[in-house]
Parts: sequence; C-alpha cells; structure tokens
Amino acid sequence: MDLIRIGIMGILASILIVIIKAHRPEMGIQISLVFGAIVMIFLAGKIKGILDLINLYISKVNINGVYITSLIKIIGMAYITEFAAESCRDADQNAIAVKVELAGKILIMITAVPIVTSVMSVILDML
Amino acid sequence: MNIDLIFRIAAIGILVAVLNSLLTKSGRDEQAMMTTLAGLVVVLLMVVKEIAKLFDTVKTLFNF
Repeated sequence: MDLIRIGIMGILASILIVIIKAHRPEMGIQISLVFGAIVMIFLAGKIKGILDLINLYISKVNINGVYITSLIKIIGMAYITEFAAESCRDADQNAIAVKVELAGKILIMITAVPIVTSVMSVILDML
Repeated sequence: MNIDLIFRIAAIGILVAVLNSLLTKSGRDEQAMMTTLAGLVVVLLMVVKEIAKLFDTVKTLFNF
C-alpha cells in the first residue's frame, strides 16, 4: 500500500511541477524538494527496522561495535549526500552537485579512517 | 507522509503566478516583484522546515 501511495504522490507532484514550471520555475524545484524530503523521511522509518535487525545480529556475534557504528554512519552520510546532490541536479546545478558529492566522499573517507587503520594494523601484524 | 504540503506549495505557486500577471498587467511591476519574493520566501520556509526534519531523522537514525 505504501508503494502505491508513493507512486501516486510522485505522479501528482510531477503533474503539479509541469503545471507550475511554465509560470514559476523556482516553485517547481521547491515542490520536487519537498516531495523528495517526504519520501526520504518515510523511507528512513523503514530503514530503522533493517538497522535494528542488523544491530540485533551484531550484538549476538562478538564484533567490535566501533566498526558497525562507523559503517552505519557512512550509510547515513551517503543518504544525505545523495539527496542533496540530486536536489542540486534537479535545479540544473551540476557543478554544485559534483561539489556536494566530493564533500560527501571525502567526509566518508575520514569517517572510515578507524576501519582502515585497523585493517592496516592487522596486515602489519601478519608481516 | 502527507501530500498536503505539496498541494500547499503548488497553490502558493499558482496564486503568486496569478497575482504576478495581474499586477504586471495593471502596471505595478515593483509590487509584482514583491509578491513573487514573498511567495518564494514563504515556500522556502516550508521547504527548509521539511528538509531540516529529514536531516534530523537521518541524524538520529544513523546515530551521527
């Protein structure tokens, strides 16, 4: 049912954007932004269930929590980056979208530093 | 998940377009621009609120 709802909302939003864009182009972008935000908020609620499942199994198996938290954090950062970059691309601002994506990539790399250092230390121990 | 926000923004857009064309036809170009600006600000406030909600949700979900 949720999928049908999202589909209908998307069709309605597209029709409204097509109607409005002829007169007020900036309002069309706002509508698409709000639609994106509404759908992403809805999906975030669903992702919570998946994350709870993952956390349940992680707590059963003995894995260091730091890795999982940074992994989940990276997924969240990718989520935000994707949303922002696609919104910029919707407004025909490709250059800004590329910069947002670059910022996301670099910040994700920084977040992944503890994982990389632990992998490196394991490799160095083996040598 | 509520679609009325989208409808509200579309309604504001149509209203602003109509007011803009009316005011331009009657020769009040400055006021037409002011209406456009006011409509844009109102819609922007709504959009920013929604996006802030989204980012807060993501923040709490992925425990930043």
